Amino acid sequence: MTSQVLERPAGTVEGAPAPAASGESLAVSTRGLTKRYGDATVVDDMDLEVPEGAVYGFLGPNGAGKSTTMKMLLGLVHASGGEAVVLGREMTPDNRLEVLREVGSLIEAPSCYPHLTARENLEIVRRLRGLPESCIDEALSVVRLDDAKTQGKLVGHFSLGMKQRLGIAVALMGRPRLLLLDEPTNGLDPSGIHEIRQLIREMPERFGCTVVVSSHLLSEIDQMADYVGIINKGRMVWQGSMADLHARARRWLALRTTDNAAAAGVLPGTVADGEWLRIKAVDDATAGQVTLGLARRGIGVVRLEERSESLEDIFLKLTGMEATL
Amino acid sequence: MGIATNAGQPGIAASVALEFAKARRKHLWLASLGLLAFQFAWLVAGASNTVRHNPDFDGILYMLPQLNAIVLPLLCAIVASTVTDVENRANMWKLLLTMEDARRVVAAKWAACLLILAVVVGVQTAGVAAVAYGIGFQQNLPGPALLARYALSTFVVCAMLITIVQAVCLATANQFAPMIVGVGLCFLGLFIAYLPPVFSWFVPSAYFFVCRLVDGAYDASQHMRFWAAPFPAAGLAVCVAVTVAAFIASRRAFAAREL
Repeated sequence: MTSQVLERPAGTVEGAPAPAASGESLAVSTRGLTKRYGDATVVDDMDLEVPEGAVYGFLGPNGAGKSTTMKMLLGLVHASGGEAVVLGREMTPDNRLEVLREVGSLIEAPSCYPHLTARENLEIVRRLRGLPESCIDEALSVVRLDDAKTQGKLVGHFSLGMKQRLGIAVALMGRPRLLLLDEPTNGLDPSGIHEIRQLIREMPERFGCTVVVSSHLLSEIDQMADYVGIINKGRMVWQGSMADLHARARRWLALRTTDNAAAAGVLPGTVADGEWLRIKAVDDATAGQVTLGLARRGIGVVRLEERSESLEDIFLKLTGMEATL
Repeated sequence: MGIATNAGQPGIAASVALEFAKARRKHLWLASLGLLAFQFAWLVAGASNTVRHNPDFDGILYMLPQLNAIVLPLLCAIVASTVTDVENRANMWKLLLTMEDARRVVAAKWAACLLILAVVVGVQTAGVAAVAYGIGFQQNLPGPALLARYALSTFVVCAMLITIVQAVCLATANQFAPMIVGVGLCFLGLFIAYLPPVFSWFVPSAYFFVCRLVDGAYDASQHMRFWAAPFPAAGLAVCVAVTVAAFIASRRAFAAREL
């Protein structure tokens, strides 16, 4: 399977700059990015294209190479081959830190000193990045860690959700143009997941940044991202807008009648599916004619539903994991 | 919140200051001064006994390296492992190395450790002077030059120990490893005194003996005699060489490491 090149700006966040077809509107692009450990190829010839101002979901099963790819973008892992252009500049060991000054990240687990308070943690990052002190208050307020009770608490006493929020605050310090968030909802309870998801969703509009968020959960990416790259065994198997991914879903009409056998004889191309009959998806007018035609023959329509392949089905097909599940 | 626009990383002084900020609530100073107080109490007790039958302070300067070989390797291990391990415990390397060059971080941590050790050695030297002049020794009282030489040689040996322990800390995320090294050096330093002096050249913590400023031996009447040893240039040169080599090698290895 080959990756599909992004074609259109549809699905970008409202208010965020729409990506054009040329490379200049991409916040991140890689060509042939590869990582090998001995004989094992962890990331294989990856062509990643992240439109500026979008939330880009990086989706794949555990061990697919998502974290390694993100670490290569941050220079924490050295690529065995290929190139990466981040915010318009090709990343090299020499300019890495300069490019990363406009990149915030949260990789695998939140990075924070447990023996310090949230503010003290942010103060260290602020000093490292040479940012004004006001950044701390803003970052704390964005992730709602600015109440008096929390401010006096050491991070070691934080819940996982609070640590995750602090990790995002650290990443957001200085309003970076690009945020790389690796499984930011890992280990969170449903309300924590919802909260982080909302926050990520709002980021492009609120802070004018591009977000690359990885996850192995399709539903999560579906709810957050405008674009998606599906990776499996180190290879990009599909890349495009979420709208395009949804459009790939096969659709059909599911029909239950008072006499399915007779209905099947009347309707061409019908496939039996348990108590249901499947016919190909048609427009409303044709669907009306189908029901009228059946009624004229004395066959009552009990149920008529439009159904489609779930994103999960598409994902499993793309990653070739259907057979294993 | 403005866009991050600073031209580069913080300067080395700012990076060192950050290391102290990160070590906040780690009780580094308390642990250092606690061990120093323990050593001082031991020194005062020993000196109070000695001064009654031998008012020559050279005896104390002869004994001091033994105390240092027991206490200071442990202190070096505590300081180096605390300053370095703070990143492991915080899962911070992955973030830190997107903001600061790995070689800079290692250098800043090393400099922070050396600063702490410099203060420790300074306080200890002041304590030695206080014992010399406060307990009633009459002969060979140390002047400023001798105290400065003592502080220098002690610091150089400590710098070597702390560099070795830091190299271990950087190579492993397990804080247990540097502590094992610290305790091991502590025991080796203690027992090496019972082996022929040549063995001391192969044990880092035994360099407190190699670099001692006063030497001694039993005379025919089984009394200890002390004399000023020549300036330990060779011993100090070995310490400096090992320190530089360990620092460069560990820094290079760490910078090449993938996270």
